[in-house]
Amino acid sequence: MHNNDLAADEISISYTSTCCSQHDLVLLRSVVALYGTQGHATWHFQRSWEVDVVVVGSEIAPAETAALLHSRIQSTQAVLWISDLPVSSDDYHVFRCKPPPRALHLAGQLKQIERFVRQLRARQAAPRFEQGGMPAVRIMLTQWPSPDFLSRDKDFLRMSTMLSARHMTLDELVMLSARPREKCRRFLLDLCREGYARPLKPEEELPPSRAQSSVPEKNGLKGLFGRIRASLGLFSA
Amino acid sequence: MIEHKIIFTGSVGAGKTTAIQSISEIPPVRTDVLSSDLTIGKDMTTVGLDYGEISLGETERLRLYGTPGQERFAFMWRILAQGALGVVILVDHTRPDPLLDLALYLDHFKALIRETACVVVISKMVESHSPLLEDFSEFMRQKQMVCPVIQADVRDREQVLWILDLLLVQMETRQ
Repeated sequence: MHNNDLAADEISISYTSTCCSQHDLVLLRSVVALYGTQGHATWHFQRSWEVDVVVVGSEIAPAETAALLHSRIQSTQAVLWISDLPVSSDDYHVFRCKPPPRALHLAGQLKQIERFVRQLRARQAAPRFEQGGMPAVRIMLTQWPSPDFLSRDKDFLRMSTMLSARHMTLDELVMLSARPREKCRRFLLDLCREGYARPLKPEEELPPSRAQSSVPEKNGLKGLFGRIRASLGLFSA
Repeated sequence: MIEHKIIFTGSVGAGKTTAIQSISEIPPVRTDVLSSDLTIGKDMTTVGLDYGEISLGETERLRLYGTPGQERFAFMWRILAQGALGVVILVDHTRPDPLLDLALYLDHFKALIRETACVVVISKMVESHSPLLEDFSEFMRQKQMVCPVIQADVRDREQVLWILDLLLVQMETRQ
């Protein structure tokens, strides 16, 4: 379990709003404020279109829709769409909220948007990581992956479990998992791209004395685990 | 006799007693009594602890402890956690607020989780109902904790073995 300082994992999300009614705005600001107190990302309002999320309120007119989408909103931005008007989600990442918005639904959508922004940022960081041919940086699991992710390969559950216990480089994962290098590389890359893991920064590396378990009798534990496995009829894959 | 222990903790009715019963080599020592709490939803509940064991040889054994689920017995959780190899947290998905239940055990066993191994098991999972498995792992991320979050039926011995396998993988990886 590497539950050491994850401060670098905390994120800030910028947003702006347009065409919002007074009701939309009051509710939005209230829910955003409350949301930030519950351990989620911090949301900051900006009077600019250069933001992570554009909130489009219930006062948008049908004629404005196309212009707004095509001229103002970029394909990488999330759109929180508080309107009954149709909007295509093919080109934009649209999160719908039926007007008048309900606090609970709005909070649920903020959570979805946060997940989207995390994944987007992780994807943007991943190519740099990949270009270096998976350098010898340790990878840190920041969230247990979704069932969908784990079901992609029968080894992903075990490899995720290993990574949950210890930050690892690609080489270490290959050695400990005894799985092909390419599979391990793809696993780590996908984890990073989808926001479940990230490369550890040099300043986050723990000194060796703190990097491992403080459970006593460390030397005898490997044999102990083997005896437990043998007694239970469990064999290392 | 050399002794080691693994802790099974979690919400009332999540299956701690059942999990231990599934794998113990001895008839588990149980301290179930008639429940006086109508919110628990079962007739018998553990007020002390459950105990099972697995022999690792003539002079060594693995003790399996199930903690009482209710928070008023938290003083026992601390006693049981001392020197444990790892902890399995069972969360009953049908309870009113499973995330709140999880928070309680993550908080009380924080030190043990940080230093050893932990698997979070969602039992009685209704897949279409919230919270989803991802919600549990997202909740743990907010608490800066990462460990396997799986759903399992602890009445099935194979699934309990699978849980212990994941716990062992973590222990082995940390070495």
